[in-house]
Amino acid sequence: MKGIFKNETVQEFFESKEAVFGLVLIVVLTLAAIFANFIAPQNPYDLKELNLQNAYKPPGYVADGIRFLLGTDDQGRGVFSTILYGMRISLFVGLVSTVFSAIIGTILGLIAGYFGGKVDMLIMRLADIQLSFPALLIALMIMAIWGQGLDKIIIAITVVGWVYYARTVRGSTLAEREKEYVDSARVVGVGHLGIMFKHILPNVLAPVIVIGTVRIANAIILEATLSFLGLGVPVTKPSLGSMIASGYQVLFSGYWWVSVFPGVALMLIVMGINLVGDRLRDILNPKLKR
Amino acid sequence: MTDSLVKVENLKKYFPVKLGVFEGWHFENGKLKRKRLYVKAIDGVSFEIEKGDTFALVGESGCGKTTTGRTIVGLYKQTDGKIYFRNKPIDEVLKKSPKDFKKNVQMIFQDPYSSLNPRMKVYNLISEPLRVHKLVSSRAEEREKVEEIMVNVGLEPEYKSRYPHQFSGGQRQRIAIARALATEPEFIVADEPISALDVSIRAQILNLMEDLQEKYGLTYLFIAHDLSVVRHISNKTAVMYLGRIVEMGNTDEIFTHPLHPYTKTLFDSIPSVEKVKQPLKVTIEGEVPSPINPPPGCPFHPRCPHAMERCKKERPEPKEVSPGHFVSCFLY
Amino acid sequence: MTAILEVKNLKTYFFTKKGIVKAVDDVSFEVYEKEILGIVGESGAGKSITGFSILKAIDPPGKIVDGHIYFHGDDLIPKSEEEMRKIRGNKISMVFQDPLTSLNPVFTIGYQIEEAIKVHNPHMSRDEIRERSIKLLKSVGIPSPEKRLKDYPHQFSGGMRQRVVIAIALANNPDLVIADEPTTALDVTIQAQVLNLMKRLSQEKGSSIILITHDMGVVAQMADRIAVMYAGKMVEIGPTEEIIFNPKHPYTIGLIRSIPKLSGRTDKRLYQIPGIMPSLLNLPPGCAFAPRCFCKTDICEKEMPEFEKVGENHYVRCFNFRRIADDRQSCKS
Repeated sequence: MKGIFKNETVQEFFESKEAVFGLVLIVVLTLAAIFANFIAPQNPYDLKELNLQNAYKPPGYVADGIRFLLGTDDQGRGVFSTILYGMRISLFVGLVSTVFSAIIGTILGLIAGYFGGKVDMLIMRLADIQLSFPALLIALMIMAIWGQGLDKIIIAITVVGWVYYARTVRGSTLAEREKEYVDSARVVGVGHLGIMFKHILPNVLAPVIVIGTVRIANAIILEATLSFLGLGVPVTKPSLGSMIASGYQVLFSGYWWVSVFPGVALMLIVMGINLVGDRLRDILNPKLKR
Repeated sequence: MTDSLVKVENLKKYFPVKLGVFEGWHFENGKLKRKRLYVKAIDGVSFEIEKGDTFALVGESGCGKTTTGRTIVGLYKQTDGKIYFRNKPIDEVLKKSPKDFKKNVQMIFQDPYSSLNPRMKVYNLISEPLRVHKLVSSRAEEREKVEEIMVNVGLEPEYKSRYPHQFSGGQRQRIAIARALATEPEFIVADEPISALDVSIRAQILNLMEDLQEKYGLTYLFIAHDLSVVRHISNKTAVMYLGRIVEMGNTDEIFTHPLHPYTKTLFDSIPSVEKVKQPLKVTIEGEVPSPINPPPGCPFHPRCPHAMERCKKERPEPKEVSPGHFVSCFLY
Repeated sequence: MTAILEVKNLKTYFFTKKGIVKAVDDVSFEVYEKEILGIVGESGAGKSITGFSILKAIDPPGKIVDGHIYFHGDDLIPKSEEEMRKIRGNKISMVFQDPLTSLNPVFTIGYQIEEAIKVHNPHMSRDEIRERSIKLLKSVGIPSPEKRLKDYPHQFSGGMRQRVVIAIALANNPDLVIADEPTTALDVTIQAQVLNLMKRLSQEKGSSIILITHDMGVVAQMADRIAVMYAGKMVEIGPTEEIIFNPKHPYTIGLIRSIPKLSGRTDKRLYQIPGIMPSLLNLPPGCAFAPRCFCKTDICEKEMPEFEKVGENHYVRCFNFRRIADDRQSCKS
C-alpha cells in the first residue's frame, strides 16, 4: 500500500485539489451506498416498513420512530433512505455496464487496429452507424425489444458504450503496431494473440481507464434517464432516476424534496466521477502533457 | 551449392504507395484505370553470408539496407527473389516450421527506446523467447537461464524486475541483445545497433557484440551508415544505393581500394578524426532520387561525376574485378 | 584575435520536482571573430543548454542562475526579453537539429524568410525584402529560388530544408550562429554539403559559428577550436589539432580512442570508457568523470579541479593530467 503513494502517477493525481475532492466524494457516496442497510433508518424496498400515511412529508418529519431527514415520497418512503438504496442501483449499473462495454470495446478495437483491412472496416463501420444514432434511442430500442429489468438496462448501456472504447483503442493500436517492440515480438516468434494481448494491450490501456471513468458517469445518467422514462427498474425498487420521475409531477405542488434531493445525489456522483476522470485524462494522456 | 548460412538471390521488395481517392486514375484504351505506384525499396539484391561472418550493409537512409534486414528475418515478405537459410528457402521454412526459423534468426533494432515493450519487466523481456520456444521446463530453470544471459551481456541480474525506462540507452541495448540471444540463434541481423547511443557507450556495445560472436559463434548482418564502425566490426561489406548493391567485397579490400564512384564519395564525405582540419570533400551534389521513380540504367548516374551515355540506359551488372570484390559500374 | 562572445561562469539549472539539474555548471569560454568553435559531448552533457543560454532562451523550470554573457563586451544577462528579441535572429541566430520542426509547416518558405528579415528591418520595402530572400536562397544553393519561395517546407527534402533554415539564420548577417547538431538528421553526403555551405557562408559574411555536435569527426574537420563538455561542465578546450592529437583530459582521451578508425584496427579490441555518464540529479562530489576515469586519485572524488593552462589556448580541468601525459602506466596503480 505504501508503494502506491510513491508512484509518480498517483502523486501527480493528488496534486490536484479538485481531483482529490472528487475522489473523496466518490468514496463517501460509494461507501454510503454499500452500507445503505446500516445507515438508512428505513428499508424503502421493504413494503412492510412503509406507511402510506407518511406520504409527502417535508424534511425533518418524525413518524413511527423514524426521523425523515429529507422528507418522504408518495409511498411514504424516506427520501434519504431511498437515495442511499437508489445509489446502489445507479453505481452498480454504471460500474457493471462500463466494465462490460470496456472489455468488449477494447477487444474489438484491438482486433480492428491490429488486423486492419476488412475486419477493421466491418467493426468501424458498425461503430459509425451506431454513433449516428443518439445513445438514448438505441437503449430505448433495445429495451423495447427485450423488455424491462436491471439486466436489460445493463445490456442496453453496454451496447451503447462499447463504441467509445473500440474507437480509441483502435487508434492507439494502429500507433503501437508500428513500434519496434511489436516487430521484436514477431521476430522472437510470439503469435498474434500474444502480441495483441501481452504486448499491445498494456500500452493502450491508459486511455481506456480515462474513458471508463467518464463513461461510468454517462452510464449512471443513462440509467437515470431510462428509469425516469419508466423503462428502468421495477417501481418497488426505485433508483435515482425513477425517484426523480416520481417526484417530478408534484415538483411544483410544494413537494419539491421528492425530486430535488435525488437530483442532487445524482449530480454529486457524476461530478465526483468527472473530476477524477478529468485529472486522469490530464495525467495519462501524453499529448496533454508538457 | 556453397556452404553459406544465408544466401540472398535477386531480392526485391516493393511497397505500394498509398494514393488519395482521386489520384492515379487515367484512361487507357477508353477504359478508366488506376495506376499503381511502388516504392522500390530493394530492387534486385544478391549476396551470401558465410557462417561466422560479420557482413555489413552500408548506405544512406532510404537505400534499402534496413528493408533487406527486415525481409531476411521475415518481418516483410519479399516481392521477388529468394532468401536461403542453411540452403533452404525461408518462405518454405516459415510455412513448415516458423518456430525453428525464429529460434535461429534474431534481430537487434536500432532504437532500444522503442524496441523494448515499456510495460514489460526486463525478466519477462528476456524470458519471453525462452517460453515461446519452450526452451525451459521449469520456473527455476528459466530464472537461472535469464540470469545467465543477463550476466553474459553485462547486466546485473538483480535489475531483472526493473522496467526498460529505468535504464540508460546503452543498458537498454544490452537488454535487447539479451532478448535476441536468449534462443541461442545462429544468425543475428543488427540494424544500426549503436547509432542511437551516446558516443562513449558505442564502443562498449561494439565490443560486447564481438565478444558474443566469439563466444557463441554468431553470424551477423550488420546494418550501418557509419563507415568507421563498419570497418571495425565487419569482414565483408556491401555498399547499397537506391535499393541495389553497388559494391561488395572483403572489408579491407573495399576500404583500401574503393572502386565505385558512390563508395568513393561516401569515403570522402564521412567526417573523421583522422582528417583533422581537412575541408570536407563534396564530390557529388544533389540528393538521392526517389525510389518511387528510380532513374533508368545505373541508379547513381544522375549524381555520378563519371556518368556516360551508357549509364543512362543500361543497368550495370556486378563484375568481379578481383577475387570476391564485385562492382556494378561500367568503368570497370 | 578579438572575442565577440565571452561566457563567464555560466550556470543554468533546471528546478525539477526531483531536484536541481545542473545542466550547465560554471562554464566559461570565448568565441573569437570569424572562428568556428565546436562544442562536443554526449547527450545530457549540457552543450545544447549552453547554446540556448547564450540566447537566454531557457524556459521554466530552467533558469540561468549565475554568470555573464558578454556579446561585443555587452552583458546579455541583465537584458530584458524585448532587448533580447532584437538580438535573436539578428546579431545571434540559431540553426536547430531537425529542419522539419524548426520550420512552420503552414507557411511558405518565402513567408518565413521574409518574416525573419522584416522583424529586424521594419523599414525595408517589400521588393527589397523579396530580393534579399531570393539572394539568400540562391546563396544556400537552392535552384530556381524565385519559384521555390512559394513552396511549403514539406515540398523540400531534408537537406534542402536545412539549407532553408541556414538561409533564415543568415538572413540578417549575424555575428554569431549557434548551430545545434545541424546535420545529425542528414545523410553523410548531404551532411558534407551542408557543413561546407555553412563554413563558406560564415567566412564570406564574417560570422562566427558555435557548432554543437556529438560527432568528434565533424568538429575535427570543421572547427578551429574544440570544447569538450561532460555532465554540465566544460572539461577541456583548445585548438582542434591539440584536442585531437594531444588530448589531456581522460574523457577526451577515451572519447577519441573509442572511435573506430576508418583506416582500420589499431588495437585488437576497441578502447571503451567504462560505465555511463552519471545522472545530473545526483552527481558525485568532486570530478563528475572520476567514477569512469582510468587515472583517478583520492582528491578527484572530493574536489572539482579548476581549469589549468596546458598549452597555447589549451586548458584542461583535471588534477592528474600531468601524470597521464608523463607516463600512462603510473595511472594503473
